[in-house]
Amino acid sequence: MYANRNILVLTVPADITSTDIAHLYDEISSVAATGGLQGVVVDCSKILAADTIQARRVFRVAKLARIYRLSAVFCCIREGVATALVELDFKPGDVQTATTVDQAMQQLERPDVNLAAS
Amino acid sequence: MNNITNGSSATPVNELWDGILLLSVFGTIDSARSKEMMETMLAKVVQTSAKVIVLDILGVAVVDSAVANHLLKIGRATRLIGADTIISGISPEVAVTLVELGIDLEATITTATLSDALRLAFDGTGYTIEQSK
Repeated sequence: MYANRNILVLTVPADITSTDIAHLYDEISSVAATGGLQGVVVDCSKILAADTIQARRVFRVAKLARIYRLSAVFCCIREGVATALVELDFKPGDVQTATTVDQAMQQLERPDVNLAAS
Repeated sequence: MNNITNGSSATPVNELWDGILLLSVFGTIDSARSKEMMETMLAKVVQTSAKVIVLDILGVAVVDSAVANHLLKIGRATRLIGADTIISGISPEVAVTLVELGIDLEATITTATLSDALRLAFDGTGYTIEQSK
Protein backbone atom coordinates (compact mmCIF):
# COMPACT_ATOMS: atom_id res chain seq x y z
CA MET A 1 0.00 0.00 0.00
CA TYR A 2 1.23 3.49 -0.74
CA ALA A 3 -0.43 6.87 -0.98
CA ASN A 4 0.60 9.27 -3.71
CA ARG A 5 -0.98 12.61 -4.57
CA ASN A 6 -3.70 11.82 -2.00
CA ILE A 7 -4.52 8.64 -3.86
CA LEU A 8 -4.30 5.36 -2.03
CA VAL A 9 -2.89 2.54 -4.16
CA LEU A 10 -3.57 -0.99 -3.00
CA THR A 11 -2.38 -4.23 -4.54
CA VAL A 12 -4.60 -7.27 -4.25
CA PRO A 13 -2.56 -10.42 -3.53
CA ALA A 14 -2.52 -13.31 -5.97
CA ASP A 15 -4.56 -15.77 -3.91
CA ILE A 16 -7.30 -13.71 -2.36
CA THR A 17 -8.61 -15.04 0.91
CA SER A 18 -11.30 -13.63 3.18
CA THR A 19 -8.53 -12.46 5.51
CA ASP A 20 -6.84 -10.56 2.67
CA ILE A 21 -10.09 -8.86 1.79
CA ALA A 22 -10.74 -7.94 5.42
CA HIS A 23 -7.20 -6.54 5.58
CA LEU A 24 -7.84 -4.54 2.41
CA TYR A 25 -11.07 -3.07 3.82
CA ASP A 26 -9.30 -2.21 7.10
CA GLU A 27 -6.48 -0.44 5.28
CA ILE A 28 -8.85 1.65 3.19
CA SER A 29 -11.13 2.61 6.03
CA SER A 30 -8.27 3.48 8.39
CA VAL A 31 -6.58 5.73 5.80
CA ALA A 32 -9.85 7.22 4.51
CA ALA A 33 -11.09 8.01 7.99
CA THR A 34 -8.15 10.36 8.52
CA GLY A 35 -9.40 12.53 5.62
CA GLY A 36 -7.61 14.23 2.74
CA LEU A 37 -7.82 11.23 0.43
CA GLN A 38 -8.89 11.78 -3.18
CA GLY A 39 -9.50 8.22 -4.23
CA VAL A 40 -8.44 4.60 -4.16
CA VAL A 41 -6.66 2.64 -6.88
CA VAL A 42 -6.92 -1.13 -6.60
CA ASP A 43 -4.16 -2.87 -8.54
CA CYS A 44 -5.35 -6.34 -9.56
CA SER A 45 -2.26 -7.31 -11.60
CA LYS A 46 -1.22 -10.10 -9.25
CA ILE A 47 -4.53 -11.93 -9.57
CA LEU A 48 -4.06 -14.80 -12.01
CA ALA A 49 -7.40 -16.50 -11.41
CA ALA A 50 -10.57 -15.44 -9.66
CA ASP A 51 -14.10 -16.69 -9.21
CA THR A 52 -17.17 -14.49 -9.01
CA ILE A 53 -17.24 -14.56 -5.20
CA GLN A 54 -13.68 -13.26 -5.00
CA ALA A 55 -14.42 -10.68 -7.70
CA ARG A 56 -17.51 -9.43 -5.84
CA ARG A 57 -15.47 -9.12 -2.64
CA VAL A 58 -12.75 -7.12 -4.40
CA PHE A 59 -15.25 -4.87 -6.19
CA ARG A 60 -16.99 -4.22 -2.86
CA VAL A 61 -14.04 -1.93 -2.17
CA ALA A 62 -15.87 0.61 -4.37
CA LYS A 63 -18.84 0.54 -2.00
CA LEU A 64 -16.59 0.97 0.99
CA ALA A 65 -14.83 3.90 -0.69
CA ARG A 66 -18.19 5.50 -1.48
CA ILE A 67 -18.97 5.65 2.25
CA TYR A 68 -16.08 8.08 2.54
CA ARG A 69 -17.17 9.91 -0.64
CA LEU A 70 -14.20 8.48 -2.50
CA SER A 71 -13.98 6.93 -5.95
CA ALA A 72 -12.26 3.61 -6.49
CA VAL A 73 -10.65 2.55 -9.76
CA PHE A 74 -9.72 -1.07 -10.38
CA CYS A 75 -6.80 -1.53 -12.72
CA CYS A 76 -4.48 -4.06 -14.36
CA ILE A 77 -7.05 -6.86 -14.46
CA ARG A 78 -5.51 -9.59 -16.59
CA GLU A 79 -7.19 -10.64 -19.84
CA GLY A 80 -7.58 -14.24 -18.68
CA VAL A 81 -9.23 -13.16 -15.45
CA ALA A 82 -11.63 -10.86 -17.31
CA THR A 83 -12.54 -13.58 -19.80
CA ALA A 84 -13.08 -16.17 -17.06
CA LEU A 85 -15.28 -13.83 -15.02
CA VAL A 86 -17.41 -12.96 -18.03
CA GLU A 87 -17.83 -16.65 -18.85
CA LEU A 88 -19.00 -17.11 -15.25
CA ASP A 89 -21.63 -14.43 -15.98
CA PHE A 90 -20.01 -11.91 -13.66
CA LYS A 91 -21.32 -8.38 -14.22
CA PRO A 92 -18.92 -5.63 -13.18
CA GLY A 93 -21.70 -3.08 -12.82
CA ASP A 94 -20.75 0.57 -12.62
CA VAL A 95 -17.26 0.17 -11.18
CA GLN A 96 -14.48 2.25 -12.71
CA THR A 97 -11.66 0.34 -14.37
CA ALA A 98 -8.37 1.23 -16.05
CA THR A 99 -5.68 -0.65 -17.92
CA THR A 100 -2.75 0.75 -15.93
CA VAL A 101 -2.12 2.33 -12.52
CA ASP A 102 -1.25 5.61 -14.25
CA GLN A 103 -4.54 5.63 -16.14
CA ALA A 104 -6.38 4.85 -12.92
CA MET A 105 -4.73 7.81 -11.22
CA GLN A 106 -5.59 10.05 -14.15
CA GLN A 107 -9.22 8.94 -13.91
CA LEU A 108 -9.32 9.93 -10.27
CA GLU A 109 -7.70 13.28 -10.99
CA ARG A 110 -10.05 14.00 -13.89
CA PRO A 111 -13.37 12.45 -12.84
CA ASP A 112 -15.24 14.53 -15.45
CA VAL A 113 -14.23 12.16 -18.27
CA ASN A 114 -17.20 9.81 -18.43
CA LEU A 115 -17.97 8.25 -21.77
CA ALA A 116 -21.46 7.12 -20.88
CA ALA A 117 -22.42 10.67 -19.94
CA SER A 118 -20.96 12.26 -23.09
CA MET B 1 -14.22 -12.36 -47.58
CA ASN B 2 -15.36 -15.95 -47.47
CA ASN B 3 -13.19 -16.45 -44.42
CA ILE B 4 -14.81 -13.50 -42.71
CA THR B 5 -18.34 -14.73 -43.23
CA ASN B 6 -17.64 -18.23 -42.04
CA GLY B 7 -16.02 -16.82 -38.93
CA SER B 8 -12.60 -18.39 -39.25
CA SER B 9 -10.69 -15.26 -40.17
CA ALA B 10 -8.43 -13.10 -38.10
CA THR B 11 -10.22 -10.30 -36.31
CA PRO B 12 -8.56 -7.04 -37.32
CA VAL B 13 -8.64 -4.55 -34.49
CA ASN B 14 -7.35 -1.22 -35.77
CA GLU B 15 -5.88 1.48 -33.61
CA LEU B 16 -7.88 4.38 -34.93
CA TRP B 17 -6.37 7.03 -32.73
CA ASP B 18 -4.39 7.21 -29.54
CA GLY B 19 -6.54 5.29 -27.06
CA ILE B 20 -9.28 4.37 -29.55
CA LEU B 21 -9.64 0.98 -31.22
CA LEU B 22 -12.01 0.02 -34.01
CA LEU B 23 -13.34 -3.41 -34.83
CA SER B 24 -15.74 -3.66 -37.75
CA VAL B 25 -17.60 -6.94 -37.77
CA PHE B 26 -19.06 -8.51 -40.89
CA GLY B 27 -20.99 -11.70 -41.49
CA THR B 28 -22.12 -13.87 -38.65
CA ILE B 29 -21.09 -14.00 -35.01
CA ASP B 30 -21.05 -17.42 -33.42
CA SER B 31 -19.49 -18.58 -30.16
CA ALA B 32 -16.11 -19.35 -31.71
CA ARG B 33 -15.90 -16.03 -33.51
CA SER B 34 -17.11 -14.15 -30.43
CA LYS B 35 -14.37 -15.81 -28.37
CA GLU B 36 -11.78 -14.89 -30.98
CA MET B 37 -13.04 -11.29 -31.09
CA MET B 38 -12.94 -11.02 -27.30
CA GLU B 39 -9.41 -12.42 -27.05
CA THR B 40 -8.10 -10.19 -29.84
CA MET B 41 -9.76 -7.09 -28.40
CA LEU B 42 -8.51 -7.74 -24.87
CA ALA B 43 -4.97 -8.33 -26.11
CA LYS B 44 -5.06 -5.15 -28.17
CA VAL B 45 -6.44 -3.11 -25.26
CA VAL B 46 -3.63 -4.32 -23.01
CA GLN B 47 -1.04 -3.73 -25.75
CA THR B 48 -2.17 -0.18 -26.56
CA SER B 49 -3.68 0.87 -23.20
CA ALA B 50 -6.76 1.87 -25.17
CA LYS B 51 -9.62 3.53 -23.35
CA VAL B 52 -12.37 3.06 -25.92
CA ILE B 53 -13.24 0.31 -28.38
CA VAL B 54 -15.71 0.94 -31.14
CA LEU B 55 -17.40 -2.28 -32.22
CA ASP B 56 -19.20 -1.62 -35.47
CA ILE B 57 -21.83 -4.26 -36.20
CA LEU B 58 -23.42 -2.72 -39.28
CA GLY B 59 -22.18 -5.62 -41.37
CA VAL B 60 -23.48 -8.32 -39.06
CA ALA B 61 -26.11 -10.32 -40.89
CA VAL B 62 -28.32 -11.33 -37.95
CA VAL B 63 -28.45 -9.96 -34.43
CA ASP B 64 -30.47 -12.34 -32.25
CA SER B 65 -30.33 -13.03 -28.53
CA ALA B 66 -27.24 -15.24 -28.90
CA VAL B 67 -25.35 -12.55 -30.81
CA ALA B 68 -26.49 -9.88 -28.32
CA ASN B 69 -25.24 -12.07 -25.50
CA HIS B 70 -21.86 -12.41 -27.22
CA LEU B 71 -21.65 -8.63 -27.62
CA LEU B 72 -22.57 -8.10 -23.96
CA LYS B 73 -19.84 -10.50 -22.89
CA ILE B 74 -17.27 -8.65 -24.99
CA GLY B 75 -18.41 -5.36 -23.48
CA ARG B 76 -18.18 -6.71 -19.92
CA ALA B 77 -14.73 -8.23 -20.46
CA THR B 78 -13.25 -5.06 -21.97
CA ARG B 79 -14.87 -3.05 -19.18
CA LEU B 80 -13.16 -5.27 -16.62
CA ILE B 81 -9.73 -4.60 -18.06
CA GLY B 82 -10.34 -0.87 -18.24
CA ALA B 83 -11.82 0.08 -21.60
CA ASP B 84 -15.31 1.14 -22.64
CA THR B 85 -17.01 -0.47 -25.60
CA ILE B 86 -19.26 1.47 -27.95
CA ILE B 87 -21.41 -0.67 -30.20
CA SER B 88 -22.21 1.20 -33.39
CA GLY B 89 -24.10 0.45 -36.57
CA ILE B 90 -27.33 -0.55 -34.88
CA SER B 91 -29.95 -0.43 -37.59
CA PRO B 92 -33.64 0.25 -36.82
CA GLU B 93 -34.41 -3.43 -37.46
CA VAL B 94 -31.74 -4.58 -35.03
CA ALA B 95 -32.92 -2.09 -32.39
CA VAL B 96 -36.50 -3.33 -32.70
CA THR B 97 -35.35 -6.95 -32.58
CA LEU B 98 -33.35 -6.33 -29.40
CA VAL B 99 -36.32 -4.66 -27.72
CA GLU B 100 -38.76 -7.36 -28.83
CA LEU B 101 -36.42 -10.06 -27.55
CA GLY B 102 -36.29 -8.25 -24.21
CA ILE B 103 -32.52 -7.92 -24.35
CA ASP B 104 -31.10 -5.40 -21.93
CA LEU B 105 -27.80 -4.07 -23.18
CA GLU B 106 -27.10 -2.90 -19.61
CA ALA B 107 -24.50 -0.17 -19.49
CA THR B 108 -23.25 -0.84 -23.01
CA ILE B 109 -23.00 2.36 -24.99
CA THR B 110 -24.74 2.09 -28.33
CA THR B 111 -24.97 4.42 -31.31
CA ALA B 112 -26.75 4.30 -34.64
CA THR B 113 -23.77 5.22 -36.76
CA LEU B 114 -20.01 4.84 -36.73
CA SER B 115 -19.58 8.62 -36.84
CA ASP B 116 -21.68 9.03 -33.67
CA ALA B 117 -19.52 6.39 -32.01
CA LEU B 118 -16.32 8.11 -33.09
CA ARG B 119 -17.58 11.45 -31.77
CA LEU B 120 -18.30 9.80 -28.41
CA ALA B 121 -14.95 8.02 -28.44
CA PHE B 122 -13.05 11.25 -29.09
CA ASP B 123 -15.06 13.03 -26.37
CA GLY B 124 -14.33 10.23 -23.95
CA THR B 125 -10.60 10.32 -24.60
CA GLY B 126 -10.36 14.09 -24.35
CA TYR B 127 -10.22 15.02 -28.03
CA THR B 128 -12.41 17.56 -29.77
CA ILE B 129 -13.33 17.39 -33.44
CA GLU B 130 -13.43 20.79 -35.08
CA GLN B 131 -14.01 21.75 -38.68
CA SER B 132 -11.21 23.87 -40.09
CA LYS B 133 -12.23 26.93 -42.08
